Amino acid sequence: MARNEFELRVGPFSFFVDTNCQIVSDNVKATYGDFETTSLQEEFIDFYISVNRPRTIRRWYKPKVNFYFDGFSPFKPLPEAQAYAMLEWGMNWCIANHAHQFLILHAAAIERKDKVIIMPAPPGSGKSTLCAAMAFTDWRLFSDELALFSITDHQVYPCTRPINLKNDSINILRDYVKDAVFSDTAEDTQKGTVALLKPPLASVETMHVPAHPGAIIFPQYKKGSPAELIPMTQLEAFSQIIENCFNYHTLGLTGFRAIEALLNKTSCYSLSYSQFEEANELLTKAVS
Amino acid sequence: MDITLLEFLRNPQSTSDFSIKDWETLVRQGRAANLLGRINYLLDKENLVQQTPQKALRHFQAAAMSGARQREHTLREVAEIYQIAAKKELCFTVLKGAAYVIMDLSCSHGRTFSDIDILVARPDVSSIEFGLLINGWTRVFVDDYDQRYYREWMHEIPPLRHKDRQTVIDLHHNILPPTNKDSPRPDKFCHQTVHRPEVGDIQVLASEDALIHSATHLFSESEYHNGLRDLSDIDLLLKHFSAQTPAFTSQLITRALTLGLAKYLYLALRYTRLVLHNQSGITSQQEHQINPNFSPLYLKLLDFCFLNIFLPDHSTSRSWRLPLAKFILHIRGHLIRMPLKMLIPHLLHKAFITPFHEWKRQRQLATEQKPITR
Repeated sequence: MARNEFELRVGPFSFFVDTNCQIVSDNVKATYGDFETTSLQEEFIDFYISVNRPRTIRRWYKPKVNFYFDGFSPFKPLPEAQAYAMLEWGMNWCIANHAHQFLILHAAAIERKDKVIIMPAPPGSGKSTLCAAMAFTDWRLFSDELALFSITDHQVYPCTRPINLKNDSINILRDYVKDAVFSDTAEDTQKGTVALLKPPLASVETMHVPAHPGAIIFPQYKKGSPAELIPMTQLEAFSQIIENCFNYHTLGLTGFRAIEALLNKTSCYSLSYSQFEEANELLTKAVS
Repeated sequence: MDITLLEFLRNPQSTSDFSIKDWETLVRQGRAANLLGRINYLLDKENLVQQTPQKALRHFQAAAMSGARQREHTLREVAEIYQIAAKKELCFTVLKGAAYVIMDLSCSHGRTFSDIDILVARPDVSSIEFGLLINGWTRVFVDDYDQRYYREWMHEIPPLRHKDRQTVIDLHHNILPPTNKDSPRPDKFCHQTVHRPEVGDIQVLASEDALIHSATHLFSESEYHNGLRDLSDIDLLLKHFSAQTPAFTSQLITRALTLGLAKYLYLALRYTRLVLHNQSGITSQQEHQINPNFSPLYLKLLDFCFLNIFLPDHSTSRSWRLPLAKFILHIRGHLIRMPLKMLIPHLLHKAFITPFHEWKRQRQLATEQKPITR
């Protein structure tokens, strides 16, 4: 079995990936093509991860793969067709569980003119879809999953990576973005059909440049509805932020202070939309 | 081969000539050994934070944050247990990790642990257990055989888990199973009371006994997931208490002899010295008092096992010796836990009957959960 090793620099983190799955190597090559390729041999690597087929009978019989973080396996094995999606989920897991220098929100984040819009939302609300569409319009992509708000300098840090799209969103984005590059599609995952969209080049090139938070917007896709931006009280936003925060319980008082700082710097809205153009207009208005 | 993590634990100042890759190795080995929080504490204590590369420091600080949070939680849990016991006018003693927090010892900083261990007099076990059960703790599922195993043979009852907070309490009536031939008489332990404003007057073991307990626990184990962390606890406890009380080591020896646990203390001193270079200030005459006089061959075997088990279980420091050491220590742990005439039936039960019962239980659960079809 061919083993492949490569280094990935993603915003403030560096990963060392080791895999014996061709699916993983091929898809990383396709979706991370624009990322820095300078070697990290002499540099500090944050996370050593691997996605591997075990060296047991399961190599041939209904092959399954395991994700390891430096020898430790936090998940149950998945079918090999989902190996690349598993790598991405594993990377999320590494960041969400260890990067406590940030308040980590389960949120999409996009930026324009040094104003970041953070869009926290539970799965299924259309945040990744909206984020992907915006990233290929006028906005810089920070992340479709993990918004990183620094607890020290109160800026938002990009965590630019391929965008995780599910089910119908995949075809919507295929139509919306000209020349979109997608990873292979993994079907029947826990989250349905999943594919990853290669991030825009401009966002990848500026992935080390943080920016200030501008607005917190809770998006909700509503079929056929006109786009609408409704202001939200800080208190409402606060409770929703906690619900969508990965490390609020770990940060404790520091986390509370960070959310306080975040809320004092931003205005909060809920957004319902069905058309990307209309949503784009309202998002632009929200931070101007 | 020098192990980066051991080098650091022996002398944190050794980091002055660390390359960035050495720091990376320290992070990786520290994570494998569950010692990242402790590394952060030691860097802070030795004024080394300034010279620590940011990229590595983040990992230490993140672990320290989790540790700090657990400290708060531990104090809150102990306060609640205190209320429950006080209502029934019962005494309890906090042991190990939670006790280090209560005593605010150096080894408690950045240290995480999975359960809170408390010790009560055997006749009070059911009363405290009942108090906990009506206050939100629930019995973790164990089958009938294990229930009997715990209740009749062990020094603790099956763990109790809080229904909302998921915190786990291990309720002990001794520090070693009564089936272990070294099992001490629990009424011989010396206690001390520590006042914590957030909690109340909490009873813990006297310093010497706390250290002896730590040693006994570590060197009667059969699993060593946190072996190096626990050995480093003992190293820090020794340093902390000897700095406080000059006569600490001689009192320690006296207490170990009184409790009949000298053998475990001997092993703890031996391996904190060999692995972590702790100069505990024990004279050769004192050491002679607690020397169990193992045969040279047995001592060689113990050295092989412990010098390997106390290496970080990580790809950068692991060799073929580690699985072998694990295996031997697993057997050793079982052999000292109970006599062979009890151990063999127990292991046979665990190997054949428990899996069968588990299979039956899972099948029953599956049929109960089957959706109703027309």
